[in-house]
Amino acid sequence: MADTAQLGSISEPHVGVEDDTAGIHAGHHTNTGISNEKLGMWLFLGSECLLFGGLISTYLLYKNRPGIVILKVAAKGAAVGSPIRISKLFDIPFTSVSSFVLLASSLTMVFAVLAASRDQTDKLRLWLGTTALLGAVFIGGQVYEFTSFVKEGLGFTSNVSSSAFFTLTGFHGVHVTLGIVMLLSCIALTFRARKPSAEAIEIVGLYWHFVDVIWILIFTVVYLIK
Amino acid sequence: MTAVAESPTTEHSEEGHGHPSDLVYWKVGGILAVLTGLEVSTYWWPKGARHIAVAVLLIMMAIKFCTVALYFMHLKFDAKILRRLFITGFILASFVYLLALSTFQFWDHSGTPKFNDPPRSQPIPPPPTEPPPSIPAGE
Repeated sequence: MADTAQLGSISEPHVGVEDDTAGIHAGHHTNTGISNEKLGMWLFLGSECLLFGGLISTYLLYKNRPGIVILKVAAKGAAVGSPIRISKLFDIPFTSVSSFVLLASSLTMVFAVLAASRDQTDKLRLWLGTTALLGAVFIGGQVYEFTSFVKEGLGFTSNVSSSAFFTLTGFHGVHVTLGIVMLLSCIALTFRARKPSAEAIEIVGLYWHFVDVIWILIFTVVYLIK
Repeated sequence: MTAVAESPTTEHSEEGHGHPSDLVYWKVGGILAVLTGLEVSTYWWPKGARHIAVAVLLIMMAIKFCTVALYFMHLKFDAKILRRLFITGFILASFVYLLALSTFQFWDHSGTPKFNDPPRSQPIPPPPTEPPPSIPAGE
């Protein structure tokens, strides 16, 4: 019975805690001093690392695999019908702008977390909205990029390189989209009487920064290293 | 005093209260933007500097990765256990994936059309057509 009581006190860290929104790094009544929700998000991000690690490794293995894309339209100095490697189709200036946008969204997310910890609801909505908007711009750019590739003749099943490329960047795009949904949900929750806690905003922020960190890897490994 | 408070692993419960100012975050954002600009510039470096460009790109990627993790994800200011978990996991995962890539001969160019090897510039020669040596009867 004593053991059960102890476990109960561990698994219910917020019961009776009045200063839940007092600070995002406030001590928690758990073994680790970290709330279960936050630790859960970190563990989830760890599993996501394994997922993206596998996808990036697969792309690296197949990026130069024999198998060429036959252009449907003239692009990058190559004529219609000529073979071309997928890396030749990358529009680096365009993707660079997308990268800057995602990086900027990470900065705005930091200010959203700060606003939440300072209990500044208006600023919180502003920064969350800005972050979601920047994320949407990034996704729009990715949709445009994918559409361009398909028009040029590079589809998901064109060759094994393109499959690896679309799977990797597509998975990342889905994660960004889910992040936008989380951000919009947080904004919606701020209009309720019971607002989301500062820690909840921080946990969403952790996810968003993780998505940015993964893009830092993808942008370098997939787009910039020839 | 609860049983949890008596646990020897509660040393981290009050760690990491510090938050840098807004200015620090703006500075970090600026540094990340500059690094990204430098990364992008390597794309137009001459072909002779390709190996240097790759090294520079990997270093800047690592710096950006760590900067975002330490400042934006608050690992620098958060509980030590998270930092330890992150660093341990990252090193372990990097080792595992480098090992996996090595297993698939990612670092080699053996001339066979497998995995990361470039396409053949010449057609693959046909296999030898000599018949196998016949076995004499009675042996």
